[in-house]
Amino acid sequence: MRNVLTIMKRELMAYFLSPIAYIVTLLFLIVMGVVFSYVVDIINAVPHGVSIVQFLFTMLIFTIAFFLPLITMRLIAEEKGSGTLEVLMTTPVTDLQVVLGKYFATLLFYVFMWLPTVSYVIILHKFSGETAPLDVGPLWSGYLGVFLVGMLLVAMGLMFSAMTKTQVIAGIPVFAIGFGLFLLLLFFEGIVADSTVLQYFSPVRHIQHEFARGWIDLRRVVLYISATLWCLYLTKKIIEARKWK
Amino acid sequence: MILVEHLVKRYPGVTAVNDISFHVQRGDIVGFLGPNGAGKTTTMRILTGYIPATSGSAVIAGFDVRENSLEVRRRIGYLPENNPLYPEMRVAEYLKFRARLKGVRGRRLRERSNRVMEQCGLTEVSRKLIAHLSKGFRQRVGIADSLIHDPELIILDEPTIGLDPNQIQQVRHLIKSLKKSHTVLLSTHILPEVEMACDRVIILNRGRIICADKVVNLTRRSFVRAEIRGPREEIEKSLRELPEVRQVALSTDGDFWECEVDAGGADVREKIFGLAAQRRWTLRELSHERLSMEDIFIKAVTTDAEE
Repeated sequence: MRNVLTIMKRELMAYFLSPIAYIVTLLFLIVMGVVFSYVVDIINAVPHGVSIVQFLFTMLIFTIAFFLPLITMRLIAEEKGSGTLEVLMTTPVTDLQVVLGKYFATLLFYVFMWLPTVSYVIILHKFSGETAPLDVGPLWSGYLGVFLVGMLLVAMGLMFSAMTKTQVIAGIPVFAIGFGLFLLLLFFEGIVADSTVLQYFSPVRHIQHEFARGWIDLRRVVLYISATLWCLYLTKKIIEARKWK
Repeated sequence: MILVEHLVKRYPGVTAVNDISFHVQRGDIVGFLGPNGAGKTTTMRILTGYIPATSGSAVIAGFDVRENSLEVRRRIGYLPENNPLYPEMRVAEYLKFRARLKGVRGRRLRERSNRVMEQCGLTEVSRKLIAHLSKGFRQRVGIADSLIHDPELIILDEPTIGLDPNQIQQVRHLIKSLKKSHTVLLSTHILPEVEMACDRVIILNRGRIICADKVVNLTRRSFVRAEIRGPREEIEKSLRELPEVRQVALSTDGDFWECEVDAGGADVREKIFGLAAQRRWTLRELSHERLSMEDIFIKAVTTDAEE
């Protein structure tokens, strides 16, 4: 446990000491800021069909899927490339401790990345007054959804980062899978007659139609947690794989 | 301290380490020599538990490197080849992080990190970013890291590579100062270094041990060189008949025969002079020379290649 904390602390420090984290967070917040101003415009216009909260969270998760690979790709690939993984793995720490330390640090950074968007909701709440009262419940569940989806994407990012020495190669599959999962429903809903199976795997749908409407489906929670654990387990196995050669 | 038996490491198509056995006693400084690709780094990686051996066993401080990897890792300090570090961290910060990973905490953490920084001459740069350090300082950070938890065994893979002569000397002094309190296994290409710092030497070539002995035994070996003009057969025969002489090698540069006489370390110069005077040979040069580590290394590797 102590080793996990030690590794986690170093990883967090590495994030905040490198420019990439600040650049990613800045760009992310700029995009979200534009989205938010658009939301404000919608509210000012005539009453709209789409729920504001649903729209906000859909945009949030889209933007996250775009930026997240940039923060996960370096995790293990960088250490493999520079050779520091050898120094790390020859100290008395287990492979699992390394995986967990890096995972929790990135998860924490992920939360840090979107936490400022909570201020949008507060602003909306404060200035919208009686005209467009906001329901607090869907906000909580929406952020829970964002957290759960991010949990899985970070684990995937870590897994792909363990597979290669090159950061870009580690980033691309996460990017592809992230977007693939998001677009799955949009592309195939019209083609496949029965799209219920696809709906199980589409984070966009989970966020848009469930979490952002205040609906926490336990099946989704179980899906994200179990898929995350599976990715972490595979990451540990991939790091171990150096011993199988 | 280290007991290696029939260690083998095979990669697809290559046998990196081919059935090596050796032991290292507590408090010894052992030099690992060999040309590039001889299996030095692979052996060190197996000892540190980073990769497992294909077969054979390695025991460090009574713990098998495969069965009790964590216990072994607690007892070793390892500096890998080309010394990878986190460039974004400060020196003291990095050493403290490494110490925590190795189980050093609380007051001992501060004591140990101050001690190794002093020992390795890092106190003045403790607040500097590793990225801004010169190569010599980085190397010292790597060595300080391997010492931070006061391990029983220190494994250094080419600790002086890329350093200037001054820095090499400092590192060598540092390694020498570790004697008694630590066991050190170091690999290097710089042969005089082995002569100066090590008690024992293990020479590897193509994954096998081709020579393992105490440095004093190896360098005690000497030979007498003589340049003589005279009939070849007579010179060779009479030199061989001298009681201590084991081997004679003759080569020529025109008039004179250059004779290398191996007399098991004995000084036979007077006897050769006597022979030359008696037989009326012309003697141009007569000297007693020690084998340097370089001679031993090259001889061992080339004989191995010929076989």
